[in-house]
Amino acid sequence: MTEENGQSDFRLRATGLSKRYGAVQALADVDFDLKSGEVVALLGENGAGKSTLVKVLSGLVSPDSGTIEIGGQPVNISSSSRSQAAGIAVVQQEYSTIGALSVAENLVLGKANSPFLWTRAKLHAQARTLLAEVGLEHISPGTKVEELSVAEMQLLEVARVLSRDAKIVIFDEPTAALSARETEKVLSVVKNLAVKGISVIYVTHRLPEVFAIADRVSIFRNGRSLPSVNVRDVDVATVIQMMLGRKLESMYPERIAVAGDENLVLDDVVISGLSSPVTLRARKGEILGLTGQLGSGADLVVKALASETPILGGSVTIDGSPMSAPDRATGLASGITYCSPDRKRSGIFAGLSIVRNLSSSWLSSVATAGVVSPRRERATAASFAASFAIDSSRLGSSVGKLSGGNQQKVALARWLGNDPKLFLVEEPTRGVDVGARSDIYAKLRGLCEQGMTVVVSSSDTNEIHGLCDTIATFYHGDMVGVRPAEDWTEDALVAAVMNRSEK
Amino acid sequence: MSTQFDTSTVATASAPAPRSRRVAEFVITWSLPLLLLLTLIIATATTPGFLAFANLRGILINTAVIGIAAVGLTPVTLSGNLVSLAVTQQAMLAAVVFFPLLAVGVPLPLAILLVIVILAAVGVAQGVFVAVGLNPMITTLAAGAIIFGLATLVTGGRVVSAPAVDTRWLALSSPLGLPLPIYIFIGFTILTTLFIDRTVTGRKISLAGANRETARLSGVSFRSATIASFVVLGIGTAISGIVVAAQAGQATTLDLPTLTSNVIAAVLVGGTAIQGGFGSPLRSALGALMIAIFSQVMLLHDFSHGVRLAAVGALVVVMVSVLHVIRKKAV
Repeated sequence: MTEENGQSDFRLRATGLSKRYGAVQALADVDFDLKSGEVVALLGENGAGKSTLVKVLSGLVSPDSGTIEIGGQPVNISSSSRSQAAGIAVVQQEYSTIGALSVAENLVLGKANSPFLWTRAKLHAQARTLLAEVGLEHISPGTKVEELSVAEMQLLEVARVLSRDAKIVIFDEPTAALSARETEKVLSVVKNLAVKGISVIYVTHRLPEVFAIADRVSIFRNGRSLPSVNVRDVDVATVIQMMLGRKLESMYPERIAVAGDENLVLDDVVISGLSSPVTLRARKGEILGLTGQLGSGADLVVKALASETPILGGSVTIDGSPMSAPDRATGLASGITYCSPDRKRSGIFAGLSIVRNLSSSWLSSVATAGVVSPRRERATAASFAASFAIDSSRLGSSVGKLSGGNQQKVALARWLGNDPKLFLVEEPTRGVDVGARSDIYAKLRGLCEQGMTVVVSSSDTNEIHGLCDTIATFYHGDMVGVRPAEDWTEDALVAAVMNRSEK
Repeated sequence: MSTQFDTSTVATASAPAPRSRRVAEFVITWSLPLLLLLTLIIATATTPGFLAFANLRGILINTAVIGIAAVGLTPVTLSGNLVSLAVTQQAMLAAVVFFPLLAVGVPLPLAILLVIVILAAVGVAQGVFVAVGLNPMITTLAAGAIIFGLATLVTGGRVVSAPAVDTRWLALSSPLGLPLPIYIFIGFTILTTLFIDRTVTGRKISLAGANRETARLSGVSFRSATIASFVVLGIGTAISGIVVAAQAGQATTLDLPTLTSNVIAAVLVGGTAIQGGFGSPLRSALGALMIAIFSQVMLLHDFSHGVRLAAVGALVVVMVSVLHVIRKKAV
């Protein structure tokens, strides 16, 4: 705080920040400021620009235009070491600690101005001070980090940041994986930091946390930031209204009443990772939507149906017979297809051609005595590509070269040859442009008309609200409500996933 | 930022690939055949007697032994299991088992079949260990040591042969003027390439190597793919070992000391990606040919043994680095 001069009462001020990735304007002329000892919350839907701003401030991404001032002086923070030197530190969602080292050792990793030799006593003494500051005084500095709980690791992450004498600390959804009690602890540490004069940028999806700790809230929408508002002056409903703005409703296909029989029935199903049993119904030909923020458990129901996470109790029946699929291959064979949320890692074969991607899960059906017929393979793949509006003139080129939207269409169309009864999709349009989004929504609706039951989990409430027939919301490991789509307004849906009390 | 704007950018994104990518694709597909052609032209122009029949014949038999094993190793690499370090020992085992079978009166075709079955079983055994999660390099290194140890124990380190049975014709007869091993090499390359490209099992091997996690979610079993690929390697090393044994008329456990490294070099020069998923047995066959011609040219120009080895090593490094860099661009 010493270099704070009279010219500016802002510790950090960014003006006119813009950043463009290909066709996506991630940040558009964003202004942002932060006073000393202040907590500013960043709110916005996925892809609204919050994380790009965090990346710019932490030096991971250089903005195309705009200036950043710290303490009134323009600074260059185009690399993460420059950003650290300017006093900015980020508490990551993913833990950057090293499990096999002790708590004390982790605290001095990557620290500037270390003494020539760390003695054990010096190391532990320093660690104890830092641990006390983040409410971890009960942990011995000699403990291995891998023995800590998730919350303790998150707090240790904060302690690491403190050890670097940061003046501006950015928290990127620090509580996504924490329980309510652990969350309390992190929040009180954040408040303490502010009391000590450290400025905090707090990125979150949870409204109660904003109202608990933030002084101001900055809302992002489509890469733009709205003028920040004092938290005292607004309530939950206003904030949600600001986040949503106006929406293009036309992106979604019309719902068609195809109320068939209930063919997916979950009764008191206990799923590893969810804190209470789930009871759900889906009719043939409908889209069941599951939504909640990251870590809420909405995805776990889909993962359980896909045999990707264990079902510990209760009963799941499909078309009247109990589901028995110990692994993905058996599930696939019985008509349960699953499209993973992480396209690059487990959704496509980036280096292989579109045809090879499309045919990967149903090769046997175009083979005679184990020998694939390239003619049948290509013809079948071409028909699936056409039905998902994938450019059929490029079937031979590798999928990694396509745009995100086309890659996602391939990732979805891959399953059509398995004669799916239950079509499971996680995050159907993550990283997908607007044009491809509406193609994908239309196709998912089309699958329903063919008599499939589609189950979608997504953290994009707008998408769930526009697309699904029945919607279930999740908060912090619990399913909090299931209603037909027409009983949800989008505001109510956002409120339900962001705030336990307002279901 | 209207909807119109978005659609237009999408259209540009799906337009034909930019020039650099097309160049990269071209290089990946054609670099090896062109390089091969270039080496041949240079060799013919600068080396008197390069195209002489006796010389070509030598190159071809030598290529066949390495090439057959390299074609057999390719599925292992394709499946994402790197390479086997037991190629030498497996081929040696084939040779060392082959003669005693003949010596006890097993007819030649049956003996060949038995050797192939035994080596396929050796492949299954290694495949099973790798499939349950052991590192493929460590598993094959250990398997090589075990095979070598047991073979030495049984033969007592002596030369094995079957004086009563003539096997040399297998290596030396030349229908239509080309040595028989060349036909075997070409046949095995075609069969293995078809296996990888056209059969469900072969395709699954490539899928498992291209992205193990996506493959698993697509119902492709990494375990079966791994075991199948090691079986193909077993068959390849069996044939390769028999050709060498037949040519020499005898075998010892110390035969083929450089086969493993030559075979790996052939696979890599051929351009099969070491991390799996991309490549083909045909490429490895061409890689083996390339290395053989390259070495032969240097031999005819009187380069010393050390220089020749170093040059082949450099060729591997250059091909692997160039293809690796270009592949990153193309995907």
